[in-house]
Amino acid sequence: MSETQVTRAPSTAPGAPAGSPWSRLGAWLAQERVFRLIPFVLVEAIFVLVIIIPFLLTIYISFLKWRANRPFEQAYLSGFENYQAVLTDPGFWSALGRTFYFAGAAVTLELVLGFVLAMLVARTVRGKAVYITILLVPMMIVPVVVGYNFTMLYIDSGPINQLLAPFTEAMGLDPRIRWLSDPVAAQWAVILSDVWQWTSLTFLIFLSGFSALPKQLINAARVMGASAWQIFWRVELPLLKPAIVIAVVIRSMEALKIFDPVVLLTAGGPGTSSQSIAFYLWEQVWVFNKFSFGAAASIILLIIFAALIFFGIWLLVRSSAAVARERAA
Amino acid sequence: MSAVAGMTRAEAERAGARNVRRRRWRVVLRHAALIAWVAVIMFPIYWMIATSFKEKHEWVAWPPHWIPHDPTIKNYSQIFAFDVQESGVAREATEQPFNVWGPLVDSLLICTLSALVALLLGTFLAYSISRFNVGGRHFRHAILMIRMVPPIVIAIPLLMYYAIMIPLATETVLGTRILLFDTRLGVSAIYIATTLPFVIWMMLTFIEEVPYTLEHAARMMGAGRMYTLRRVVLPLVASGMVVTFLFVFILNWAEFLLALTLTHPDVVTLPVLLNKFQSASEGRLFGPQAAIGTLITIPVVILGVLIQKHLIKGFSFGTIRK
Amino acid sequence: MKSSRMMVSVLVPLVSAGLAAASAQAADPVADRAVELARAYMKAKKIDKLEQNMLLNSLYRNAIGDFADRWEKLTNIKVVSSPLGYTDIPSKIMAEAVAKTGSFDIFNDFPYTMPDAVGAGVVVPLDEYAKKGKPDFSGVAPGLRYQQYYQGKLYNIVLDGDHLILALRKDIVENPEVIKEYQAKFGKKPGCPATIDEWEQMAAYFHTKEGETRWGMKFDKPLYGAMGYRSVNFSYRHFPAYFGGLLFDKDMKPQIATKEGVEAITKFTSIVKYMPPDIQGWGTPQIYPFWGSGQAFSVMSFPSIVGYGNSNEKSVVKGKQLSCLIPQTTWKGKLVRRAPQAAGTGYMVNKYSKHPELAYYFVQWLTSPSVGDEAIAHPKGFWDPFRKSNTTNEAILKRFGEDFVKVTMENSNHAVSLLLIEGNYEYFKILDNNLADVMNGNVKPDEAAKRIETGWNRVTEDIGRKRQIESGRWGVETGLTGARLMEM
Repeated sequence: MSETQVTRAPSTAPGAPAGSPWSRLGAWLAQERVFRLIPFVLVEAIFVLVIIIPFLLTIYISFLKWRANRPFEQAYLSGFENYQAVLTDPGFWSALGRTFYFAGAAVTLELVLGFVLAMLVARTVRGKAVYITILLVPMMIVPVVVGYNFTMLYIDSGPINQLLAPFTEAMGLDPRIRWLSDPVAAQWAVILSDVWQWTSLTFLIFLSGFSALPKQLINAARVMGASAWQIFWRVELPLLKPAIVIAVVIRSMEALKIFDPVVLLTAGGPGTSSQSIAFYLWEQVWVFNKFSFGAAASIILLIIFAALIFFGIWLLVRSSAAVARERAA
Repeated sequence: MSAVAGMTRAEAERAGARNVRRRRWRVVLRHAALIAWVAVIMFPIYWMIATSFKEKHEWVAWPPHWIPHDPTIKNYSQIFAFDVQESGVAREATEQPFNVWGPLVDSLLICTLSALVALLLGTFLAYSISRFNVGGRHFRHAILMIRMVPPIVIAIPLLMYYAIMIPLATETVLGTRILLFDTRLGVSAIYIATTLPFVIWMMLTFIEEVPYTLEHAARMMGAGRMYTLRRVVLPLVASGMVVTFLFVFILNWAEFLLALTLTHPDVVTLPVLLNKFQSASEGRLFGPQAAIGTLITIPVVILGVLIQKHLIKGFSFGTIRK
Repeated sequence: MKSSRMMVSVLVPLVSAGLAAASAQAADPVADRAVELARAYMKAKKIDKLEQNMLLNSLYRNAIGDFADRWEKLTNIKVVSSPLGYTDIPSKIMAEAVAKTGSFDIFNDFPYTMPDAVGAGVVVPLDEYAKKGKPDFSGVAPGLRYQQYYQGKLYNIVLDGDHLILALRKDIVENPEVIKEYQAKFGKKPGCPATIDEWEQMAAYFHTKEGETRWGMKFDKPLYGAMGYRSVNFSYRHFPAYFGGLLFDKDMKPQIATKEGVEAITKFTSIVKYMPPDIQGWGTPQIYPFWGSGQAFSVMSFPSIVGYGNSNEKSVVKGKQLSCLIPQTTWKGKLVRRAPQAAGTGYMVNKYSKHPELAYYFVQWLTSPSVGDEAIAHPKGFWDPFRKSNTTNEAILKRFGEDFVKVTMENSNHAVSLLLIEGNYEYFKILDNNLADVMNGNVKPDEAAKRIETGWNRVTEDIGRKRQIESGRWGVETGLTGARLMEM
């Protein structure tokens, strides 16, 4: 509908004096078919210049044999050698598996906590603004700072172990949990710091969702005698589905790139037990100087991630379409 | 319903009292749960602030010191690099000053510039997508792909591109070498590109709330394209633009990996400076770390508090529709 | 209190400036030559004034300024420093190899960054300039001197002796009760352990739990028997103290999966049980204050820990430290002493510098016997004694203590450099990861040794075995690790 109206709108700005080249340019730019494309062209130009060209370069490098202990000029084409090396490197696969484990655990916790918190806040009357303000703070803090903070908390003589001591001692464990140097604890150290920071984002998304719920619909259900549980399960939850999908997609996208907490808390250690795939890549490239290997690993990784994200976006599109249909009905 | 109708008055009163009591309990529990989470959030932040006033022998004391025993501002004097002589014969890494002023200026300039440009372009494009469906039906989703690329993937090619290809290309084409490596412009450019997807997504939400009829009316009355955009649409999405600007600003403020690769020695951003406290031989200097962490955190949190109301709207990503 | 500290702070620069003036007059042909050659170069190229840039290990940021100022006064060349944490420096050098910007003239980093930097062609050999400048490396122990070379060429001029030493608690080993009990048990007085095994035995003996009373002393806090670096990026620096030979033979065949290798891994990991439990997560800022707090009996560390223990205000081990040579380890039935040069930086010159020769002259001047000694004595510097002349330099003796300088000089005769071949960071990391696995009880030492061997072979194949054999063989033949070879 609106499409046709738009094209019928006047094609030049009325009153624009024709004559000088600048105003003629202005008039040309103001034309409907040109005007709508200006931002598109500009943004695409930036993407091409800053992201796409370097990305094509990455693809090229991934087919070279190039370690940085050899000048770039001496690099030579080596076909799929790098890809083969990546795919047969157990380190790559275990880092990838670990990344899914981190992302899975962290995103699940963040979704559950964020959802519960948003629900509680949405139903609170007194102090609502204060809660929202405080609950959103972690998101604002620079991840590097969060990493540093948690190194202070996690050290074995740190406050976390002190707080946990009554419980750990009751269970007969050593109260000085080695959060940063025990293989299992180190993984959870990474996950928990991610949860601390990003629960605020899922909380925010869900809170937006809760505040957008149609009040009349819920009131109507209540009047018709639905229990609170039924209202939640049958009315609210389906309406919140798009918010849930958005939270899943956005958080998974970022959690799969998890890097800062790993490098800051554990440097991937002890051994390789807390290496995420982003950390693995970083180490291959900037510590071991394996530039072409790193490029090939990046491409493989990107393909895997893209497949996942496409799936996520497909879910997103489908769920928002479904909600739109429901609302329309 | 029928059960209620069948109750005697006394029974109903008792049930009502029970309901009130139950509701009160629920409220108390709700607050208890929320306060527990508030404690979880405040705890690391409190610890950072407390540590920023601790002497180094208190950093790893057991049992930990919840309140600094000998409060000191040494950590702050170290990061602001004033009063260095005071520390006297300083041999250990823990005594080294880290000057925060230069990186602070660099970070502020880069983040402001890139957030502004991204905001302008992104808003413009969001408008285009919303009104003309530019780029096709799935463009708004496809654009998220850009955000998906882990920065490490393009770090090395970007380095070659910035340091070699662009200077060469501009020299042959324009006659002057445009330097992007280790310049504020270069870092800003990549930040603009990586944050644009978020800008577009968030601004779409706000722009789609502006009724098209309003704009149409203005156009019918003879207003120009730019004029309508400036005087009709932008005022209505201004608060959204503020939120988006600040959100993108925070993202850039935090970015570390690309800044490390593409800068130094001339340009240093705060996260890169922070990383100097990490180097294993200097190790984890908890005190100065905490001081600089507090310093970086305070302005961003204040900004966050200011935009808090708008954030809820900005993060609905199109799920709020009236 | 405050005013007296102010006094000190005013006096220290004055005194050091005075010292500087005094020694500047003392004849040092190496430093003078560097100045003259730099002036001549400037004149020939008609340069009046110049700025050069140095990528600096951030530990030296407080001290380097004084020397840069003097160099500027002497030659009109201003050397500006860009400090960066040492973990970021190698990648920054490699980035420069790609970007070729010439934004740095001098790189300040560890010798083991050199092989990759040479391979990438980002640093210049300094032999041409050294022929003119004639630097003086006399009085530097072979293990330290030869790490300046790669494939027979001079690339990295070192000014730092950072080989590991062992420090014990003097007050404890000299406690009469301790001596009596120890002698009854082991038949000898407690003191510097001769071997790694003896160190572990001492660690076990002195390891004391919280609340115990021993030797008439009540321990309110636990006393850990030993400390050492066991975290990622540090284990590999300590490992050579346990492994007596070369990590590879002449054909780049790893020597780790041998009896000696497995033994070294076992010893390296078994002493951990007497260390603080979080030791795998600790670096210098945890280890130094912990040592200063008096909660450990012994520590294997960089030599500067002794200075820390003596000078730190909060330290309770002032005057209670005993510096020891690094304990010996067994290699093919013989006892050998290996003090790994675990850190210690030098100076390389960027190939893309506009005036590499001038950059070299600054390096020669800074590392010359006279200026170098002043740097080591500089109260805010991080340079450690490493040259024979240091033992007679009063400022240095005063700063570090006579005892310590003597021990560290003797220790330097046993200094061995870390692996100097291309891709060494990857070799190191494989070692580190597997050592961590053993410490965490995930694998047995012999299994770890096999994994390390496999990993190392893969790296060698990737870089090119032939190339690695050449540089590895060069290292063996020219005596990069000369001290080791003499005993083998």
